[in-house]
Amino acid sequence: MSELISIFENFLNLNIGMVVMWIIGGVLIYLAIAKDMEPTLLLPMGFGTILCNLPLSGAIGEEGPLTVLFNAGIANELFPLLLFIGIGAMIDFEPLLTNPKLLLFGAAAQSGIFITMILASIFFTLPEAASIGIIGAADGPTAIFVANTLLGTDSNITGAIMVAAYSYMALVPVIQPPVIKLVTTKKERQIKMAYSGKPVKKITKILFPIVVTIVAGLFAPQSVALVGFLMFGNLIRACGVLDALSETAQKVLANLITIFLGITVSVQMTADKFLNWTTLLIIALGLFAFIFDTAGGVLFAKLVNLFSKKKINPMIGAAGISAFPMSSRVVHKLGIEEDPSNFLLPHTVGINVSGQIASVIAGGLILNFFG
Amino acid sequence: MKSTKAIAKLLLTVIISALLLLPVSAFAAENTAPKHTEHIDTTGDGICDIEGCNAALPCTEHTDIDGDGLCDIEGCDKCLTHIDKNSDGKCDRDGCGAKIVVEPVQTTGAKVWESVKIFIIGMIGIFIVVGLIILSIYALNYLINKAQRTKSGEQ
Repeated sequence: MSELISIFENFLNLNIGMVVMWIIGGVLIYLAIAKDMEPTLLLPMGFGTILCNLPLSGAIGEEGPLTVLFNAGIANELFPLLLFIGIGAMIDFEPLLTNPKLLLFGAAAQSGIFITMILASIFFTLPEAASIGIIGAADGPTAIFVANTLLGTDSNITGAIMVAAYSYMALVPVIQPPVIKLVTTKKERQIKMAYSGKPVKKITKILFPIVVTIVAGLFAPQSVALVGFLMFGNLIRACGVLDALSETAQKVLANLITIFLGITVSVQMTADKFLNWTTLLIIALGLFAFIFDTAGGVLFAKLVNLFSKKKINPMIGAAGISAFPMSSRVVHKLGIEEDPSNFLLPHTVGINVSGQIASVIAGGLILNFFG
Repeated sequence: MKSTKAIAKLLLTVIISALLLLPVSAFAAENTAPKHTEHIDTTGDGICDIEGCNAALPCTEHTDIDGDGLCDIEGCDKCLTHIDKNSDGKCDRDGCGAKIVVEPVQTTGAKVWESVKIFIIGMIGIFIVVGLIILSIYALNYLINKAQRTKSGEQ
């Protein structure tokens, strides 16, 4: 009889916080499957949340596999960097290389990081505020890398930062359009832009990642890991002699690391760390980061228009947010809604990839400030 | 002209003399120091036993066995754990009075101002790096095109 009772003993260790986290995990899984929102990350995160919030869960703790994986790949920032190789291999920088000035829009769209940092500094210490601001990089690996470096693995807010970063990346189609419409007029949204795609030489595509790594590394040495791994992946793609490696990086490596990353970040999402007002505040600040990123890019484009004879559609500035390729498609779709003959995609893709570079540079500069 | 040369020679002499005197004086200082530098305390009373020295020997490895915050080695009593109950910035233990350095807590205004500065410097920094990358791309394209034109010209 006592053996029978002992089966139910673990129920005594269950608390309401764990149940709430199950619901949160379930919501993430629902968003991933039913709404197709960043399923590659939200589904593992959702399921991992449930695993970590079962009483006396064997998945976490000193010998728990999730904790082992966390220490092996997230505590030392290895997983985000390996994922960056895959991301770099996926990105085609040709639209950017056709018109390198687009990089400026990517830079402008990182303003949300710093504005959010200012807001967050009211409630948090400066390193914490910077880690929250980096949600605005709209790039999961960068957010994980910077937050872990600045705060360490014992911080109670890294879980909230990771959830905010990945969730808002999936919510770009919801967040950006109202912000864009708020800061632009209908006439501005209808500005047509012609595209004259100049061919880019292969040697340029090969030298580009090397040059970016050197330039960014000289100014922000802390960014060398981030920029370097991203550009390494791109170099594998651009060189043309490593097709097998490029394909492996884009598919096998990226998918493998995504599985580990997604399920392992949930180690930070235990009820005791996650369920507090600070988490809600971080999630709210993360939303501000995306809003200010979008507004920053659009307003910069409007500023350029003041000095430019040939007007640009200011909406394209919003594509400077690093959520690739979603943001470029969102802006292009908005352009078609305003004028079905307006084809903004070539411009927005170029700006979107520039945002990827600029966000990594921003992350490196922030690490430099606090390093 | 002659006086200028003379002054220059004088200055040079003074400088060279000073440079020569420095090692000499250091050597002299060393040689007037007490002949023994290693104190020996065979009796364990905390005083050097070498005749004529009587220097009090400092305890080099403090040990607090009883957890009272003081070194338990005989004759030492060094305060290892400072206490500042009255928050006057000094240790309250009898005979200690060591200044306790407290890290200033940043006020909200200071943090906000610091983050504004980081915003300004950060955005300038991003634009500088991005600007250099843009220039590098243009330079690359120019050099590659020039190399190709030269090559096709040679052909």
